Order: sequence, then C-alpha cells, then structure tokens
Amino acid sequence: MKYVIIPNDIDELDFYKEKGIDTFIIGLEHYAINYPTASLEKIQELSQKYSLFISVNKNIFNSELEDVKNQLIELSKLSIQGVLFYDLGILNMVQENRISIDLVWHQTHMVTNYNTCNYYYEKGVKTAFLANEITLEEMLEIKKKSKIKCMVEVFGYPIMSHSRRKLLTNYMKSIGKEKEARTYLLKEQDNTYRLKETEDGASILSGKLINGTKPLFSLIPNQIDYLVLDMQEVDRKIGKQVIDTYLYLFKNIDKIDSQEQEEIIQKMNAIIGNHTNFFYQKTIYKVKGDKNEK
Amino acid sequence: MRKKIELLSPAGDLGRLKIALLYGADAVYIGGQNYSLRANATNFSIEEMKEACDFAHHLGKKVYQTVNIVFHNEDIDGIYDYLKQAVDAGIDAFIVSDPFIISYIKKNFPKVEVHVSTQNSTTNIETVKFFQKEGVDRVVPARELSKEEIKEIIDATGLDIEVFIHGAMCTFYSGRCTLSNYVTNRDSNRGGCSQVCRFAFDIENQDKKFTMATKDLNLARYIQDMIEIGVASLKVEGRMRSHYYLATVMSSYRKIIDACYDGTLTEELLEQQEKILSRVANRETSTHYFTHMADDTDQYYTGRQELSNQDFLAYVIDYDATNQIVTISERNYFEPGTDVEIFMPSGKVISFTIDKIYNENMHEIEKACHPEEILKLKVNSVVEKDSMMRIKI
Repeated sequence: MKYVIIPNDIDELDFYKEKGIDTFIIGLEHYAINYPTASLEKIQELSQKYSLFISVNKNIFNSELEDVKNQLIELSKLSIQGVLFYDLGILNMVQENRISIDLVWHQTHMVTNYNTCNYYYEKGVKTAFLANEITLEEMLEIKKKSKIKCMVEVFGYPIMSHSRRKLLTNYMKSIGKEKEARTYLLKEQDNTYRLKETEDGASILSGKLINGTKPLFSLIPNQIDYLVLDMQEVDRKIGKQVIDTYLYLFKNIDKIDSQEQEEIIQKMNAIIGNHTNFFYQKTIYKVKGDKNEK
Repeated sequence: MRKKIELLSPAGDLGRLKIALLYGADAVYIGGQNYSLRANATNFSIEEMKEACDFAHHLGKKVYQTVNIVFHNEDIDGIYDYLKQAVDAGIDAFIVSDPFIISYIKKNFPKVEVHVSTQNSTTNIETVKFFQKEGVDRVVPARELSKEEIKEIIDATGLDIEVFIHGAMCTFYSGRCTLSNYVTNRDSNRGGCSQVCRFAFDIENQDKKFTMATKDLNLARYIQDMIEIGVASLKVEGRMRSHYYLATVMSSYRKIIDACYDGTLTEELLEQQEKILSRVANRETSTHYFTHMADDTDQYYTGRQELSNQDFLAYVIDYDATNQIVTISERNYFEPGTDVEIFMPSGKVISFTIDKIYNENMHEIEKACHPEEILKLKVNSVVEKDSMMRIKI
C-alpha cells in the first residue's frame, strides 16, 4: 500500500519526495484530462528519478489513434508503474500490438463494481482507479472480491463532469467577453464548483476537498493498494498538513486509539472541511423523495 | 446490398411503443423495471414487455431493452433472472454499457443481440474493434462524432452503427458526468440524472448567470448522408416524451427515409418535415458535432428555454365511415373556424377547417376546451384509428 500524488505542477515532485512520497500520476501531454501533463521526453526524464503512473484518460478520436499508439509504445520502453486509460481503444491497441505496459482502468465514474474489475483483470488490466462516487463499503467489497489492485482518491477536488464543449469560452462569447483564467468558480445555492477549460473541453470539479481522514482508518487496514492525493489547486500549506497527517496515519494506524482518531479527524476537519464525498453517502436513482435526496 | 436503414424510437410505456411503431418506427427501445438509465420513467413490466414484443413482432418490427446503467456491486444480484425473463418475453437486443454485462449476456443468452450504449462514449475505431471482439452486434457511438468520423468507423469495422438523429443532447460526454450525483445526490449513471446541466449558476466576477444547457439535436436534413455512409440505425432520444411527440417525429422521419430510398426526396418535403419537427420540439435545435465542432451557437445562455405548444388538439378514437363522423378525445382548445390537419399512422394527412363540434351525444357545442372530453366531428375523408389532429402546420 502506498500514497500516490497528483501534483499541481510537475516541477514540484521533489517537494513531495522530500516528504516521503515518491509515486506520482501525471498526464501525457495532449491526452490527459484533469492532470498536470508532460511531454514524452519530459516523462522519460522524470521516470529516471520518480515512480510514475501516466494518465492517458482522454476520449481518443480516430485522428489521434496512430499518435497515441506510438506514444504508448514509447512509454512501454520506460520504467513507469503503468498507464491509466479511459478509452477502451487504448486497451485494444495494447492488446493488438502486444505493447508491454501495465494498464490501470481509469474510467472515472464507471469503476463501480467488482464484477467489471474482474472482467478487466482477466483482460490483463491489473489495477483499477475506483470511482469517487461509490461508498467506502463498496470499495472494500471490490477489494475483497476482486484480484485487481485498487486506487482510491482520498484527497483533492473530485472531478464531476467533462465535456468536449468549450463551455467557458462559449459563455464568455455570449456576454461579449474573453476568459481571463482557466478556472472560474461557479455557485449554486450554497455550493461552489470549479469550472476548468483546456484544449480538450471543459470540466467541472467539486468545490469541496475530499477529506479522506476517517476513511483511511478503514482503507489502510484493508490494504487498498494506492491512496491518491490530488494536489491540483490545493494551497501548498494545506497540502503539506494533509500529507503529514496521512503519513502519520499510515505509519501509526495500529497504535492510534479511538480518542486520538477522533482528535485527528477533528483537526483535519478544521483544516480542509468535513466533506467525505460519497464514502458514507449512498446515491439514489429511482425513488423520488428519498431521504438521501438533496 | 445494405439493409434499409432502421428508424429506432424511444418508448416509455406500452402506449407510446404502439404509437411509435404504428407511425413508422422499425424498432423501439424500452426500459424494464431495473437497470435502465431512465429509472423514473414508467418503464415496462415483464407482462408489458411480452405484449410489446408480440405487438412489434406481429408488425415485423423489433424491441430492444436498455440495461445500460453503470453497475454497482449490489446491482448484479438477480441479473440472470431479470435478463432471462426479458429474453423469454421476446426482446431482440439488450442495449448495455458495462463490458462485464456484455460478456455476461453473450455467455448466457448467445442468441440475443447486444448493442453498446452511447453511455460508453465510444469515439474511435479501436474502441469499436474492442467491442467487436467481445461479440457485440452494434455500437451507438458518442454524440460527439462528426459524419467523417462515423464513416471511418463503419468503413474500418463493418459493424452496425446506430446514430442519434433527434432529441435532447447531453452537455457532457455520456458516462462522464456525475453533476447529478454531487448536486442532488441522484446517480446519473444509474438512471437518476436530474439534469443539472440545465440549471443556472452564478459565476465569479460576472453579472449574467452561467448556463451550459445545449440545444436539441435535429439531423433531418442529413438522413441521406447517413444512408450513404452506411449507418445501420437512426435513433431518436426521449423515452419520457409524449404520444403526440413520438407520432410526429416518427411520421416525419419515416417520410424522409422513404423518400431517400425511393428517390423522391425534395427540398420542399424536407422543409415541410423540418417545420413539423420544429413545432413539436420544445427547444431550439442544432446539428451539433455531426456537421461541426460544437460551439457557442449550440447552447443556451439564459436559463431554461423550454416552450410548450398547444398544437396537439385531439386523439382519434374511431371513424364512422357510414356517417363520416370521427370520434376524438380532446387535448387542447379549438373552436369552429380553426384550421386543422389530421395525420395518420400510414403517413396520410388531411387538412380542413373545423365546422361544427359535437359532444358525445351529437349535441353541437361552441368550443372544445376540456382535455380528454369525447367529441365528434364531421370529416369527409376516411380517418385511420390512432390518428392525431393538430393545428394546421
């Protein structure tokens, strides 16, 4: 079991390494959504110093297939931990071209059950990045009933949606302005969201940081393989406090009694808020007026 | 020689299914009580499913069932019995998104077709090849593809490709949106989508609300192109749409498709059908990615833009040929002097001006203003059962 960092910027990997975390996820330039990206050449350089997962989690279009295939071949020559994929075309290209690379199933919101994890495992995919929208109980059941290694995000602003449309540019055009930043805050009732736009379209992220402190008391003992901290757009000072606490939990989880556990949770709630995302909250989909409906 | 292109309609319940098929759909897609992405639609019981399949098969048509949720651990319990009952009811194909379910169906029910849902947002040849290896019979690609990209997929794989041609669009890639989960706690990938993309948000440093809702899709003008590039099926969105909407949309597309095949497609026919389709729509439409990279013209910027109209005047229950009396069930207000037209399942349309309106007992009344009231009109031409009367377009 280890922590994995999605850095805010690829230039800050040493900061995390000095803190004791040396495994990172970064995106492949032009082919990653909601990751800091690097070119193949830069990844080659970084891979000699750090343990890297490379995200290629964009929807791929026909015109991009040849380039993606070639880049996968080049990535397979590097010493990296694996490639996170969204598009099943990547799985097909890896299979058909016998590209020797470890794949991580990373279909964002769709990694939700152990049967499908087992299905991919049989296809040679050894790791799954579980959806942020399932409960802790569901995650632990997947871990228990599947051979696949599991990644779980325990900190960061979770991505909610991604569009090919340039939603921010389009909006600005509608009001006769140009966008001045890549990220804007949206507000609806008391909730805040983050709208980001890149060359690949627009993403909306939650405005609340996932606080995984309490879930870690279950995730660590249950040997979840990779616990992911997404540091994108997180204040460096807050990020440092989170890392210190999470590392402390990792080293001392067996020794922490219930009183200290509660103190740690309260301390972290004060720093990053008490939003545990869907770890303890089941979504509904059928019954109108359900008590879980917001 | 290629098969004639299929016109595929949504059907939220048995009544809608029958209307869609009668008005020209070659096949319908429906949801059962579980595992469908319209969890809050009426959907079909097993008994209704059997009746639906019998009705469709009698007409030489097909019924597909959506099982396209993103499964959670708990959802798999009972899936075998659920699918088995649907297979026994006569379902021709399952529309699925989860690859595990694809292999599960292929293993347990090898005679039933499997279609990959657009929920998977398939955008390229390699992904279609992946599904092809898994034994799927058809793929519904992402709505983010252009005509050229769809053609490339068809040319490279030869697999049946089904393309959305009409109805509401998602702002985000299908399957790549959980706004509903976060904002309303409803699971969008299990049928609970609360359409948060149609909400209006405050945005920092701007006075005007931020909205991201898209205009609807309308590809009526591109049916000939679809036929030429080898699309297998044309799909209309909207399992929760009304009987009138389905009858109108199916009727229009049936006319366009048939005209493409018999060489009678004219600009006049296209314009007339586009006019009819625009009247039944409650939002503006666009061709979206099929013709161009979607841009600012494909969205709304002023909150909800859903207009209702009162075009649908009455549903035809019966026609007495001897006395030339049509019996109707009223839907919207009309009165003597109103110019109307009756459109029929066969595609025939008759236009006339309302002269006198009679109640059920043949007493003349001044106006029709009570929805579902049974009324009678004198009509000189034969009117088919299940026809519909609307304002003349």
